Amino acid sequence: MNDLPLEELVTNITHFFPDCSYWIFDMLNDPLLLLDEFGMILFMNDKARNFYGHSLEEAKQLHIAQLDLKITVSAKYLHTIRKSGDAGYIFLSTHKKKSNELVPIQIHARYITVHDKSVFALVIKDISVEKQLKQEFELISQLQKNMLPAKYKNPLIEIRSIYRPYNYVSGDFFDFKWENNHILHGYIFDIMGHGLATAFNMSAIRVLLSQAFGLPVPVNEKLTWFNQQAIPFLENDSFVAVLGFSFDFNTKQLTYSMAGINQFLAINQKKSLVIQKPGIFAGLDKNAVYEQHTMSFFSGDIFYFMTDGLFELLPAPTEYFPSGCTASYRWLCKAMRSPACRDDISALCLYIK
Amino acid sequence: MKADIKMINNKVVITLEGSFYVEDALLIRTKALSYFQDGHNNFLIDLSQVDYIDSSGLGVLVALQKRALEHHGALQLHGLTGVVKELFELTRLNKIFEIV
Repeated sequence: MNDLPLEELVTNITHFFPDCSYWIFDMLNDPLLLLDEFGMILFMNDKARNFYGHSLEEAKQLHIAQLDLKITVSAKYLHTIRKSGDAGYIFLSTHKKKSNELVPIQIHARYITVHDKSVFALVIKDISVEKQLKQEFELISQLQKNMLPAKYKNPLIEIRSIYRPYNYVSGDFFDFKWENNHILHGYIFDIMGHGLATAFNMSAIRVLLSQAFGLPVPVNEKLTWFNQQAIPFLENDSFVAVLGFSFDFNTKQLTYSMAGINQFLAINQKKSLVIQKPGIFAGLDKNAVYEQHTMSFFSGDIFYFMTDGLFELLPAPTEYFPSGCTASYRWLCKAMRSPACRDDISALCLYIK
Repeated sequence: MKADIKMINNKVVITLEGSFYVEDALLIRTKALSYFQDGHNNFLIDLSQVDYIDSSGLGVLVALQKRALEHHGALQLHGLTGVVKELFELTRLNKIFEIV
C-alpha cells in the first residue's frame, strides 16, 4: 500500500495552495498520475481512471511498471524524471489498460517535493490517433510517389524529376507520355496548399489533366477544358497552377501553355533562359482562355519545368543558371535542400539528345 | 510579415508589410474572415509595402474576395508594386481583382 494517502497529499498541496482541493485534479482534461518516490501510484484523476479502467482503490495498489511496458528499471525511470528539473521530461511509451489494451502515449513528467516527500506527476496523452494518422500520412505519401512516372530515356530525350512533399503529402504532381509519333506530351501542376485535403484533390486533378491531355486538341485548349472541369473539384478557395507542354520531335518545336506556373528554365542552344508567359491559375475563372507559345529546340537543350516551391528557392536564376545537364540538375537539387523551403517541390528535367 | 487591420469608413482596411508567405496566410485569413461574422463585407488590402507573395498568400486574397462577393460586398487591392505587381500581371490576377 502506498505510504502517502491522497488525503495527505491533498492536504499538503492545499497547504501551499489554500483554494486547491483534490477535485481540481479531476477538472484536468488529461489523465494525471501521481507517483511516490518508489513509483507506486498515489493518485489517478478522473480522466486517468476512465482511461485505464482502474478504480482509485485499484490504482493505489499499482506500481507504474505495471502500467508502463517500457520500464525495465523503475529507479532509472524515476531518476531521469527527477533530473529533468523544472523543465520536466517528455517521452513516449506504451501503457496497458486494465482491459489489457495497449495504448501508445506521450508522457509529460515532473518531479516535485511536497513537505520533503518526493512526488512524480505524470500527465498522459493518448497518441494512438496521432500515431495512426502519421502511418496513414506515410502510406498516402508512398501512394502519391507511386503515381509519379519513372525516369524515362529513349534515343531522343532523357527525363529526370525532382519531387519532395513539404510534409509527407503533396499537392504537386507531374506526368508525361511519349507517343509513337515522336511527340512527348506532359504537364506539371501545383494545387494551392500542401495538406491532406490538397493531397486528395491531387488525385482528382491528376485524373482530369490526364483526360485533358488525351484530347486531340492543342495544349492551350487542353488547359481551357481542364480549367472548366476542375472548378467543381476545388473546394475551400483552392486553385491550381499548371504548365502543359508538347515536344514534337518531327518539327523540333516545343509548344507550351501556362496557367499559374508562368515560368520555366531552359538551356536553349547553350544559352540559359528564364521563360515567362502569362496565364491565370486554373479553377478561378470558368471563362479563362489560355495562350499557347512555341519555341524551337535543339540537340543538347535542357528544359526545367517546376512548381513555385522550387522556383522561389533559386538564387536569382536570371543572373546565374549553370549550363550543362549535370551541373544544372545538381544546382536545382541543392536549392531543394534549402532550409528556406516552405512548400511542396517538384520539377521535370528534360534533356534533348 | 506585419498585418494591421483597421475599420475606416465602414471598410476593413488591411495593411500588409513584408513578405507574405504560407506561415502568415492562415493567421491573416482567420483574422480577416472573422470580420464577415460581424457583418462587414467591404475590404481594402494595401499591398504597397509587400515585397513578395507566395501562392498561399494569393489563396488568402482569393478566399477573401470569394467571401466578399458571396456577402454582396467587394475586395479591393491597393499599391501593387515591383515583384508583386509583376506576379499579378503574369498570373492575370489583375483581371480577377479590383485594383485601385
